[in-house]
Amino acid sequence: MKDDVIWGLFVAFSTAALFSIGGGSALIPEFHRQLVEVNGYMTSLEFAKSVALAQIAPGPNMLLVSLMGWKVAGLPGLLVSTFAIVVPPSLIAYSTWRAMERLKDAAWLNAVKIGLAPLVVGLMLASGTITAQAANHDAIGYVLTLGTATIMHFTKRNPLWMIATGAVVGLIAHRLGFMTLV
Amino acid sequence: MEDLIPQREDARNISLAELCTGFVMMGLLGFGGLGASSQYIIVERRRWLSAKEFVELFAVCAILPGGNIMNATIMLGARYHGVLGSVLAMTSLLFMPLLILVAVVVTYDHFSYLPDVRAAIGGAASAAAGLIVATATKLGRGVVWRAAPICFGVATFVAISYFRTPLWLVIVFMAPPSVLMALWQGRRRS
Repeated sequence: MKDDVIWGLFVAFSTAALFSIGGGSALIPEFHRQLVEVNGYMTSLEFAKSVALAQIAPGPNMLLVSLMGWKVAGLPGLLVSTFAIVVPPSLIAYSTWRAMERLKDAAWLNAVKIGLAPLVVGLMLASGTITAQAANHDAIGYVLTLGTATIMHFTKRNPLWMIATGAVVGLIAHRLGFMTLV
Repeated sequence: MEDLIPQREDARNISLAELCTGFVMMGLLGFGGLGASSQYIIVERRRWLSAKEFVELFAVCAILPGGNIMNATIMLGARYHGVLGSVLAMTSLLFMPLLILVAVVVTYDHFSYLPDVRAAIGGAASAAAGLIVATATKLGRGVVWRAAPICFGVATFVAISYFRTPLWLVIVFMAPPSVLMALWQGRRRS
């Protein structure tokens, strides 16, 4: 039974990894389908709590998968899930790198990179907007988001300072009765 | 446009130790994803890549399966130290965040009922969203903003943030014209 769960986690996450384009956050609906709807490993509420917890800890968004593995099957679940989400895409990335080294003087490869760059900027801006909509429940939240974005755009400050400032502002706003808690 | 941040001249000679400490820092500082912390370490602190090289690497990684910065980690490791570099860079990136994740999961249930804790986490989450926005605007420094890239960038932003179009659909429809445009403009200049 336990082995079935471990194998189920491996299949769910490695297939999700291979079809994922655009990183961890884009995969959340697919993870929900696999873990809650298809396999019934966790309830919808447990799933939502895991997503929120993964946001607190630093590191790749993909580590959401490690957390879910932990919730479903403890340490073996965490290790297998992390392996499933990291290794298959890494093999593809490594082969792509080798191919790009060989082709680095090709005009078309250069055009691919230059042509994709504006799409990536648009995509990143969209992630910021979607994350802000999920995180912010009142004006204080938007002030924090815009303030952080402005300061970080014009300085090379360590991002940790901004996170710490956000936490302190949230705490003070709550104590003064301004902060909406969810 | 000139790169705002010059790349290190000895970019090819980054030691294994420097590579590993860089990726450890990147993992530890990666609140709300690695976009902001990778930009901070790779471009601003360690200067492994220029702003232009960084956005181009990111672009290739975004169309490959898997996490964007995790793919970039594999490629940067391979660039400086081959397979060993890739494996060590990825391990450095993931190790501390995994430990912290377990610590957070184990302790969270004991403290999550405290309103102060939830307020602080809420404030931190709002700031993390701001970090992602700033990463986008900084990535924009690596793009030559002529009419065509502006159109493709804005269209991507609107499609994903407003219409919630799946990313693969955006890439299928936007990437070919954008790449052809870049190829055509490159030919015309040379």
